[in-house]
Amino acid sequence: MNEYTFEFYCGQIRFVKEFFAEYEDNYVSTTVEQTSRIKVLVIVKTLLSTQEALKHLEDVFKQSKFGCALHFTAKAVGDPF
Amino acid sequence: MGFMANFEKFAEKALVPVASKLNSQRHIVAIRDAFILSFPITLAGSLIVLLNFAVLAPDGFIAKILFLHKLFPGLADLQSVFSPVLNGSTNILSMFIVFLVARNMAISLKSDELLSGLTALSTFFIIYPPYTAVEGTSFLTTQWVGAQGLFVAIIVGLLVGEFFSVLSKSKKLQINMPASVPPAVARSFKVLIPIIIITVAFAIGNAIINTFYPKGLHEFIYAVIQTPLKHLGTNIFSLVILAIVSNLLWVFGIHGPNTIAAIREAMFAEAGLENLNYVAEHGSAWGAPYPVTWAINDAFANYGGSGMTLGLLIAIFIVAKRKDYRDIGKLSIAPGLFNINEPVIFGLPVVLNPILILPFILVPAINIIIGYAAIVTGLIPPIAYSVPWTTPGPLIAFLGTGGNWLALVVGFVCLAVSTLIYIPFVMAANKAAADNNIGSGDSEKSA
Repeated sequence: MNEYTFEFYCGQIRFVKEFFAEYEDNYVSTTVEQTSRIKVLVIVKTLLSTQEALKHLEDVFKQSKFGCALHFTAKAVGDPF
Repeated sequence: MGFMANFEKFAEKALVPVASKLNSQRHIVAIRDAFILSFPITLAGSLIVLLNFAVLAPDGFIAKILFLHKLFPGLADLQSVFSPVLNGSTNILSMFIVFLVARNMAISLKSDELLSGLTALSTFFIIYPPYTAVEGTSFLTTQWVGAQGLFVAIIVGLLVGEFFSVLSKSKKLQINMPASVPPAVARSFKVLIPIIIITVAFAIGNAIINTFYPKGLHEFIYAVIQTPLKHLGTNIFSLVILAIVSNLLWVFGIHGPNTIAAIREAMFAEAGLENLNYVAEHGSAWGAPYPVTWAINDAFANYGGSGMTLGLLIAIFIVAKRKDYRDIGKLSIAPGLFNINEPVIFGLPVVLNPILILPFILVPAINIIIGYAAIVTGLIPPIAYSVPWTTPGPLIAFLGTGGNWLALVVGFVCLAVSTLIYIPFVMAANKAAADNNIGSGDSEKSA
């Protein structure tokens, strides 16, 4: 099992934080840690690669009730925007 | 609690749920995605028209610069080769839209999307004005398959998508074939009765409407809904308000352009397409019928991305003393040239930043007015060609007008104005950083 940490940025960070707090599906399980008003760290346990996991998280959030309306960006810790 | 905190609370409690509804409501999503999906085809049509007049026409701006007609004397003859491209793109946009709206509805209602789309296309022509016989040959008017038929296409797509999905899920209306029958045949028969019901219902409805309004449904919808909405859209106030709403949502973390997409398309799509048809016919954007379209926003108010953040980046390079701002500026300039501004939006950040919110909203509105003024005073022609949104800054205005050099100049003026407006706010951010002793590279603490 791999563990990655991704940074999610959004002006409405509460919705990202609530979504990924103990989120789980067939591919990933996540926990979150808020670091600022617009950023959370999403810690992911998964069998996917870094890029696959990041894309999966972006996709599931985009398809969520509030994620479809929010402008957000996500990246692996240390990667440029 | 300050204004900013109050507005943040308001955005979280009121705007996000509304935006969420707008972005997930199936009818709105079906319309929005239909336009998004058909965009590559209309854009391709527009680019080929631009190529036709910029490169192949003797007075095209690229042809003149490169002396193409001296090098290749027969070049203008090739224009007729590419002219029909519009006939397969914008001139039949309503056919794409009716299919795609019904298909998108079926996807969200989990029914057969392909047959839903095809049924909608069939229905669109059931209510279409009848063939006219001229000297023994039948003709079907093309008036309603392009921009003018968009609203009928949307309405038919929504209704057929809805009815088809409901009816096709009814077990009593399904014809189930034995397992030995090929899947494609079984699939068709399964929805045969719903398709018959829908086509018959629309045929009867069309006959009734024609009795009371002999000009037909297309003419009726065009006069009653589409024309008033088009007039509302082709108005500078609507354009500025939509841009302000879009950018305001953006700085509070809501996807502004997506949220207003369906409204924007409903208001501006026809005008944009009519302008493109005009240039295809006349070879020039001068005299295009609609000076105000959403294209003004892209041509003059979106350099660097929403909020015209290319101006912000230049302002940062000129006056920012903060290391974090300058670092983010350097990182952002390459994507910013192609109107991608995530590094600025989240890196500085601009979102929820009380200092930068005002110019972020103000700058595009002012630049839209500058662009509009240049067009209505006859300084430059309307923006008639669609140009990819990733085209660097003022080039959108240049290409969008078919190579008008003054439009390029107006684009640079807009960029200069946006930089000038951003400068005092970047200086205020300098001061805020100095007062709070931040800005040494920790962008998360930035205000």
